[in-house]
Amino acid sequence: MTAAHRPDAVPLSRLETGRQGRLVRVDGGCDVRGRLSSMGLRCGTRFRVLQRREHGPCIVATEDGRVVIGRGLAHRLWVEPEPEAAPA
Amino acid sequence: MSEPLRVAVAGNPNTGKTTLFNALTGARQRVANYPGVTVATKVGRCAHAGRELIVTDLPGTYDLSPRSEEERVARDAILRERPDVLVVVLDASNLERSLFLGAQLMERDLPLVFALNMIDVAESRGLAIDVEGLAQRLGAPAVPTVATRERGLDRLLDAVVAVAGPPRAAPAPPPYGPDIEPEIARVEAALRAGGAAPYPGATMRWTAARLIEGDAEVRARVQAPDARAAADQSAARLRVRFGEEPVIALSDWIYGWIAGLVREVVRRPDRSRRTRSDAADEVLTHPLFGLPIFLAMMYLTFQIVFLLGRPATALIEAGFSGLGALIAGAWPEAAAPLARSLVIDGVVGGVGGVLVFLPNILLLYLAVAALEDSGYMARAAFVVDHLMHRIGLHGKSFLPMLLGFGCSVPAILATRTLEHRRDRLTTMFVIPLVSCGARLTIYALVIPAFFPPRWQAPVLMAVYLLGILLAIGLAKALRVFVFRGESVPMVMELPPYRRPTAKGLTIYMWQQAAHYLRKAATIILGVSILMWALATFPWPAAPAGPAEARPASVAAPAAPPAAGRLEQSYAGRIGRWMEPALRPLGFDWRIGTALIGALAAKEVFVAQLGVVFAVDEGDESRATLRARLRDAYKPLTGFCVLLFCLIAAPCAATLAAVKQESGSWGWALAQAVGLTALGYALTLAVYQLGRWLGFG
Repeated sequence: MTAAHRPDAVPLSRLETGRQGRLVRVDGGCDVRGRLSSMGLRCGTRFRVLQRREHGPCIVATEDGRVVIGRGLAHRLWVEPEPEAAPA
Repeated sequence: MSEPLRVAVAGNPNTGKTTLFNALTGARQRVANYPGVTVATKVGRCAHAGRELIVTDLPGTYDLSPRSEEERVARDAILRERPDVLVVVLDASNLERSLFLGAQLMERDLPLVFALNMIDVAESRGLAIDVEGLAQRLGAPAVPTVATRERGLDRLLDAVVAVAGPPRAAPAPPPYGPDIEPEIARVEAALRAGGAAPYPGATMRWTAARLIEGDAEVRARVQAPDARAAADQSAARLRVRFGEEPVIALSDWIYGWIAGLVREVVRRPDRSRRTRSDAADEVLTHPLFGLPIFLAMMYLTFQIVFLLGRPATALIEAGFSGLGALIAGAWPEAAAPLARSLVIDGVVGGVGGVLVFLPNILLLYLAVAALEDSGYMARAAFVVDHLMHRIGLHGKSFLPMLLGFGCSVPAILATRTLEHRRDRLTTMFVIPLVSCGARLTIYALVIPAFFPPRWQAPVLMAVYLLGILLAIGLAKALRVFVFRGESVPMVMELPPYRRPTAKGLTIYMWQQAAHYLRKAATIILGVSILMWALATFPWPAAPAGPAEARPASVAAPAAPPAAGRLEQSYAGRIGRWMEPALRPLGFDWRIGTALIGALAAKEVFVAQLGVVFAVDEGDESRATLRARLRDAYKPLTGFCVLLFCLIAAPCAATLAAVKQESGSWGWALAQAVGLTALGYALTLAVYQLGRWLGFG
């Protein structure tokens, strides 16, 4: 659970449209993390980037639904990209 | 009959909570409010199995930590008012998510009933839910419902009456596991030793858990220093054990408990796969087409508001001038002339002038409610987010500003969708700079008076654009100088597209109409009478002239049509008194009186000018008034009038709305003073520069 360094983690803002990833770390206070987890985005959550605006927000698909994440926040969400294959 | 049962309905946004509430209570609701954008709670009644139920619709929230104003309201309602039964509306197609609020409510020692709403959507997505198993694990009844089709409501109410008791049946709180439970027990013991529970509606266990999480509000209410110290120690131990803040550790545990529970009772396919909603989003939020589609939607909204509203508006207008003429005919001039003038010019003219806009307002709300209920509004916020960020605001601020083109009052109420107070106050402050429909009447009078036809549209456009640019600049300035600090990160759910229900839209429209009518009957009536009095008194000893027989014009609340008498009235005297301050802007006392009228409602400016120039209202006379304006003033003054009316002195209804929504007169006054100062300074600069350049 600790925020261990993962060499292959990238900020969500760098994940291309259509790519999948697993959320591994959130840089931010309890407020941000609580807000995210109440929307179904927790460490370990898998999601796929549906849309991404250059310098803008992105839309991700989780198992629970669709969430818009602002650009500023997307820089602070670290994800481990997964291969393109569909999850089980 | 026994005491009425007090039932509160809680749930996440977009779970159909309000639809369920409407289906339960029908039109028997008390407080008018704005759907999707509600903070204030609504109360309705219904009867079931021989019992009277008083049902409260709580704001939609994801959890009960008071981060946004909605969450604070919901939490307060549950903590302080302590309903007899709490109905928790769950999205059956998204149990894992909506059960988090459910789990928090289970900690309250309240009888609960879970409504598995939108069970049809869940079934259509291939989810199979073991309802009995779920109810058993939660320790409370669970009833599948489809609020939009009023399915399952009887069974839901059966369960509500049953858990209310006797015997009263409250579920056991969810377990926190072997690491956290002992810490909670420890703090709980310290709390018990310290005396009474800080909230009547909360258990010691709940209070202990919030203390460990570091909930500032709960902490402030806990008197016992031992309990706070114990909570600090527990929090420190949990931080070491989990490597996380306690609030995260506790909610992670609850999420884990929910995930396990849902795995046992729900069989489902993977939802991260592409849905039809996603396909629609690829078009509606397309990087290139999203913005044009959004603009087209807005254009359509305005067209609906103005085009469809026109016949009804004309009808009401005709109705009121007919009513005025009828009273004028039936009521001899000699009999109580003061009361006659009050009724015809003050009441019929003033309130009628405002009721004329009822169709436009209803249509605007209908369009907005349809866009909101269908799920499109969230997409619109996504589409404009980038533009809004440049101003330092969220995409979500755009909707209220957009409503401002219709009227500032609903726009200010719509800022309730913004989670952060800082964003709300900034947005509220700049909304009056967006030209509302009422100001369009001023522009429609002044622009053709001073500008040749080919310049008219560009000038109108320039005024609107100037307002928008000023709003942007001011918002930016407020964020830099007043509301410093990082903007709240945007996270927003995109609900699946849904067809708005006719019942929801109708109830909503009816509530709007009731709200607006109530306002017309109270605030606006009062201001109209005040304005009438200012323009009428001191009442002359002898009647001023034949113009007394004039039928009331709908838009003119002011009474005496003769300019000479008006000059002697209090309004005229105030205008004169203001003149030294207005002179540098190119305005005289006549414009001054009209500006006073505009404080009540911007339309009054036009009516008041008409009275001042002693011109009867009517189709041809509008041209006459324009001609007189042209004779009396230079185009530069005309432009300065536009500028000043755009920026300065928001109308009384706007200020009242800001006061209500910001919770203090301070912010409303700051806005009135700030915008008036800005308007004055800009108009002064433009007029003086214009004169220096030789336009004066």
